[in-house]
Amino acid sequence: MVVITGALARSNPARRSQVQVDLATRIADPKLPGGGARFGLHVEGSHSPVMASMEVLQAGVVVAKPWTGFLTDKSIQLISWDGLDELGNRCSTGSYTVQISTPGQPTLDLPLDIVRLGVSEIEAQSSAAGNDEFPMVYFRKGSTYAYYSTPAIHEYANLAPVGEVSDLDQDSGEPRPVVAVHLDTDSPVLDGANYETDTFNYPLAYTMGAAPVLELTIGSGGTAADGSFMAPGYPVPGFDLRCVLSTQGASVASGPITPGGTATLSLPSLPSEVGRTDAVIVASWQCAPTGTSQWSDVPGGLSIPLRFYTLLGPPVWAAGAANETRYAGPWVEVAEYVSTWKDVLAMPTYGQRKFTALFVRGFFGQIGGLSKPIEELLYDCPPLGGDGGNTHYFNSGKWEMDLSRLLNNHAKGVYVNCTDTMGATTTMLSMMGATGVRPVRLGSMSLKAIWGIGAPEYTTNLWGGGSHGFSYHHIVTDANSLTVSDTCMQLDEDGAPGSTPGIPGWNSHRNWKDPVIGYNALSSYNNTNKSLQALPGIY
Amino acid sequence: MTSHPLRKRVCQAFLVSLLSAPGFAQESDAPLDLTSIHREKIAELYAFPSWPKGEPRIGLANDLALSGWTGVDLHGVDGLLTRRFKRTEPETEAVSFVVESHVAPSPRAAHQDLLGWLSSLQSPQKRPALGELGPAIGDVGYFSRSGAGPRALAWIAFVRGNVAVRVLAFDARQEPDLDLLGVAREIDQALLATATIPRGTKAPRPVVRKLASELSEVVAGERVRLEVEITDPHGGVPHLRWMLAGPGRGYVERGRDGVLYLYTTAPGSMELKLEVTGSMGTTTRASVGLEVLDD
Repeated sequence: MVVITGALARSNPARRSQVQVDLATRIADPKLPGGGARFGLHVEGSHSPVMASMEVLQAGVVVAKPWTGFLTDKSIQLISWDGLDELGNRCSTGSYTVQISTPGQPTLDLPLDIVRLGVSEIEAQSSAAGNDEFPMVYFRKGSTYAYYSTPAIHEYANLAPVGEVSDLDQDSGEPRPVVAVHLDTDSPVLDGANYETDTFNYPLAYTMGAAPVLELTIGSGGTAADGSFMAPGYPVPGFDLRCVLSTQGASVASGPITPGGTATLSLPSLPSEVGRTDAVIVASWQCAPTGTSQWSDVPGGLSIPLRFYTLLGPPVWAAGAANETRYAGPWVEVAEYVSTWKDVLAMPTYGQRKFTALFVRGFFGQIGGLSKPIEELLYDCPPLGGDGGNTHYFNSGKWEMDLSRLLNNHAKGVYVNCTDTMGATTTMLSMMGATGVRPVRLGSMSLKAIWGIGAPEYTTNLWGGGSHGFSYHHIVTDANSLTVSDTCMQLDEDGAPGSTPGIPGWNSHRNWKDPVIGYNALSSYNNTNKSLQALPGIY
Repeated sequence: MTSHPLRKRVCQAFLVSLLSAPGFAQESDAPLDLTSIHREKIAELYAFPSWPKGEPRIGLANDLALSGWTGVDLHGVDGLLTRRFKRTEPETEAVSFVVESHVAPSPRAAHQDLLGWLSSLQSPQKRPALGELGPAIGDVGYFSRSGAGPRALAWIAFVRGNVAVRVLAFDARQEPDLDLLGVAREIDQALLATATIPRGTKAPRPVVRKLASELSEVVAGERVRLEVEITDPHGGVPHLRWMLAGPGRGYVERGRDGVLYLYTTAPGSMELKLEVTGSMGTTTRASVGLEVLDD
């Protein structure tokens, strides 16, 4: 609270009354939400109400009359000026004088500087630990396929569209609203047929437990009520300004800021597990006499929503993949799928084993609140209306997974086989930071009871007509096939694995050779050959 | 699904054969190329060496026109073209089938595509030759019935000359009476109508006459004008696929002025690659490097 001893006033000739200023904003940006200049007044030396008024002047000319009323010694009169002039227009940046008058007495003059503050860009950076922040990738451009990595130069942009006057304000002079998080998971923000370049708020990706570092670009000026460019109004002689970020009950402050400059701030650590965190950061500002640390708040602030996805670790890509860096971060769609599965199934994801356990169940679906597999896929077999376990999405020649079409409402058909699910699983787990994930190619299998993806129940008649075997199979490992995972089919753990019905034995890090519950024993009557393969690429 | 007794016996024999493969009944972590072993078995099963080699052709039109169908979402990756088709009348958003095609360098290479598709089947049952469905389609081809209905087909795959084609029902449950055979036949007719090329020669490919960046260095966030000149061997419209190898990042799109630009969004060196699929399905590549400086 700022207390200023004000002018002497005599509302009662018998006693001296004195206006006391309990609160006075020195620097304000009324365009910020809650950003009106604030004042608190009371009077001392008089038990009777004292009539008073407040006017705002610029260069000696009254531009606003925010308040007229009575001051007492019993309570503080709080007054807020919203920065509007007498005609209701927003006052421009600059120096003003707030004048408090009492009849017949000298006025009390308080200096006030109107400035324009805001955030035009946010760039997410790695924490001090290094390399823990990654771009995210979209795979659609409206109705076509195209890859788009979120811009490293700024994942949040709230800039003037071409032809407009300032970044912080619209041409009407009203502040540019904060940009909402982009919630689409396949396509980034478009401006007609082109990518949007001025206004977006893309999700961010960090390794789990990382403390995000945000570089905020402070706007440089705004737009006046008449549509002309308006200077930022600072630096204010004798004062420093700084930015403060608050989230999750914690606040961090930057060093002194300059118009158009940046403020780099570190946020509290993100959760130490894979998932989605929606946060709101509040950007506010403080001022202090130059050379002091007597920081006081500039009223108001901006509440900016941000979405964070947390990964197990840095995304992993196929060695030598031609387009590796285009996929330098996880696809938004994949991160959102995983996060949704986590929410629905309420499973922990703080390690690779637990994350894989969630992934297998989420991908396969038909568990808990997930009534269907990812993208409503079906195993390609006659009883489900399909054929003989045909590959639809995996390009074995190029050793690449067509994840784009699989995740676009199964664009190449509803049916998949084991190679398709292997391709999706290895690449999706890896882009979320799982390490050592590789395909395992299995030889022929004389199958026991299995539950194929999308199938209503276990079967011992996969192909119809009594035929029930694989000429080959594809599964997934992150332990050189000592343990394996499978999102194409689940095995039967009811003690009679060769017959139906079955009890789901989820194939997540299942031991390969355990004679009772091992994958080899539960899946087939024969001992199955296996060989490790390389992590596939993606397109 | 009904199963012909003879075919069933053949299938069972094939499964036994597969289960009797070297390594059966033994746990082995020795590195086995199970993919190659399986492919060789499939080649043997389908008598791959005896597949006839037809006359090579200049390719298959990207804008493949099929009567009663509207093609959408043409996409090419390394010469494998994918198109989806919807009914024209009544106009619908529902996709009925998917056509994949590859204009291979030679008939034998196209055979390898077909063999790859057959090898991808997990079922050990051999699929019937297209000849079972009537007049031949392609030089060699196979099909499979779907479990969605007595007449429903799941896919048809064939090779005509140097062009491999696979037609896949999108969801046979939704359209059990879809005339996949008619579609395949029409595609084959389209192939037969294209010009042939002498054996031993490759189908003409598009030529990237120029791919250049106006600047070799830009600051992240800036855009740089690209100069691209492409000649399609058949005077058609080529399909472009842009790819970036970083760590620099960005994207390519046409500006409002109609000019093609690279928009940079992350610093680092960058190789901008262009894959061009000519109007008849053959491909070529070109690339240009530039440095994106930190903003």
